[in-house]
Amino acid sequence: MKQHIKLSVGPLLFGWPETKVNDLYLGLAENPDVDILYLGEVVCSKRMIAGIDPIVRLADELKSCSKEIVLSTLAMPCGEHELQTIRDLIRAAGERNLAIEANDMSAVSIAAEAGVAFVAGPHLNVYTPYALQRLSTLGAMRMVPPMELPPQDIPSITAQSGVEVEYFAHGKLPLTFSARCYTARARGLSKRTCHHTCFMDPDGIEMRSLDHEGFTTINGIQIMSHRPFTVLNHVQELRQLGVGVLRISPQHEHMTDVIHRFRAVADDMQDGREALISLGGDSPLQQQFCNGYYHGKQGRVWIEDR
Amino acid sequence: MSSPFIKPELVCPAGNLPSLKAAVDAGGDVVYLGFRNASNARNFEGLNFSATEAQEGIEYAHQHGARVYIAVNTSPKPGQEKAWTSSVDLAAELGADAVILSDMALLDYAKRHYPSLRRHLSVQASACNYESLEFYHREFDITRAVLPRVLTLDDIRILNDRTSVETEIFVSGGLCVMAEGRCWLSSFVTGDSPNMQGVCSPAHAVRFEEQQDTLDVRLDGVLINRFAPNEAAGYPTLCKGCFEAEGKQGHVMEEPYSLNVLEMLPDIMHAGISALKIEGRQRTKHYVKEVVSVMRAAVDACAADPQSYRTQTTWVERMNAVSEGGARTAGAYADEWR
Repeated sequence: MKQHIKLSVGPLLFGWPETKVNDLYLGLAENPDVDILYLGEVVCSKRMIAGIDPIVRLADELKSCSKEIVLSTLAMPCGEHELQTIRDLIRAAGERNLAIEANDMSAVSIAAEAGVAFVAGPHLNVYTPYALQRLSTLGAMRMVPPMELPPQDIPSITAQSGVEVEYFAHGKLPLTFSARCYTARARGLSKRTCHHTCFMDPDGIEMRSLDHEGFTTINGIQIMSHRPFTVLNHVQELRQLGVGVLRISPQHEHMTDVIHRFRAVADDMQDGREALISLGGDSPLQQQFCNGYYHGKQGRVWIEDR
Repeated sequence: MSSPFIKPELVCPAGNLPSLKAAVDAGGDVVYLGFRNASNARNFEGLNFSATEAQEGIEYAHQHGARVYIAVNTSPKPGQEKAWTSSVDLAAELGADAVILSDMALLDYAKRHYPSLRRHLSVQASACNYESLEFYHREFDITRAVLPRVLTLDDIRILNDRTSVETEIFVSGGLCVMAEGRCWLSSFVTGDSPNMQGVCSPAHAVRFEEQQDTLDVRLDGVLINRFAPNEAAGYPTLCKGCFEAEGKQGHVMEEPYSLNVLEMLPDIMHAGISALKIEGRQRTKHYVKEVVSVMRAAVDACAADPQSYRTQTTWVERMNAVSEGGARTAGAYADEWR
């Protein structure tokens, strides 16, 4: 029998108002196709207007939904205030027997000391078997490889580690972090005076090249891919590479549809390519998605099946 | 906060032997370099050192009272670890004064095989807080970390109050506007990245296309800038390109200015920083000589009398003459940049 592939919904990377965040996750709580939910702010601490309380409250509300709940930490904690946010989140996770997703070595260190299990997030730069083994001894129970790592390299890193592999499977790719807020900059503001302007953009804002081609997405201090990345048509290959969890990154629309199709393909109920075409609608796939990283190529491109 | 006043060492770039000698002759305390392979994050064509050149460079530096740090700061490719560990071996055998590492596999390797060789955490490890620095110190006994360009000077001072790990900051040259080690823009566009191939916006992907009244710059086919006929065009780094956002065209991420902290030197010396790093292993011998000379004069002047320290006009002129876009931003060290 084939191994059951779990589906996760990754941490929301965009700035959404609390009610919209709660609607998303409370809706997902009812969705039988999803196994794991990641909650928490990864990109910008300024979005955590009420601190970690709304995240912890939501985690408590989701307790009865029989899904694994993981609390995600900030990827680039720079000052004491941001480190304290991570400490508080890890303490809350420990009290509830939840794991965290560590997106910075500070979170690894704090979680290891507190004895809280963690998922090694995609921003930890785990590129070698040694790095993963070391994290495993510190409490890593799962890892999300960096998206730029070709999946063919995954088995050589994860073999013998006993660490479950989660692959970023669908959504706009988080590509960078900066001290500067590009959303604020695009609107003539600065990070300090941002007025939470990113809350106006549920899927970020588009950055185009001067010949008007879609290039990337601006999401606060982060730059993301322009089009969503997807491996809906490569689920079986990823299974063979030892991937146990497929991550779907939250987006403004069509979440239920995307999740449902991944479930159907993972369960061999639908062909991956067919599912992708029906998800994509009428326009050509290369105009809608990117998958270059899956093929070890430029992340922005779309490569047809060989 | 009152961190002790420290006169920081000046850590200078060398992409080849003539640049190394220029840096030493111009008063650099330390020269940093990499070997000619993918084991360092400046794996540019025509750059870097063979074993023989590195040996000659280290001898020259040591004879003149300077030190040499060797960067092995990319991650080994699975199955090809030997290519990276042998770079660490070579650095140790040649008598390098420190190795600059980012991957935990290499940090561990160096700690086990060469415990007395100083280990510096590369900026590529993207450690931007004291918890991360203490983690690397505890696990791999690092003595220093190069900080990513995401912190303000205030952040750095507070960080230094809370860690025993020495810190090194960039003070001059091209400005990474993203957190180093956390940027995949280059592999997104070209397939090659700093973390995996040791390159950003690699030259092989650059095309200049003369149009009727513009010069178009493409990176692997993506239009990343467009210049008027007589406009100065610097090296086409992705994040310094011109794009459109919110209906406006321009430098959406960053202007092509170079970093310049001359004005901030007294504050830097009160922030507990151990070393100042000059970017530019890909630059010419002349560039290295000019920037190192200016920084040497400025650091000496500031250390001698911080109260009456003033930036000299000639320093700024010399820096601007060799810097892309002029040396005129304090980057993330100043809060308003963000």
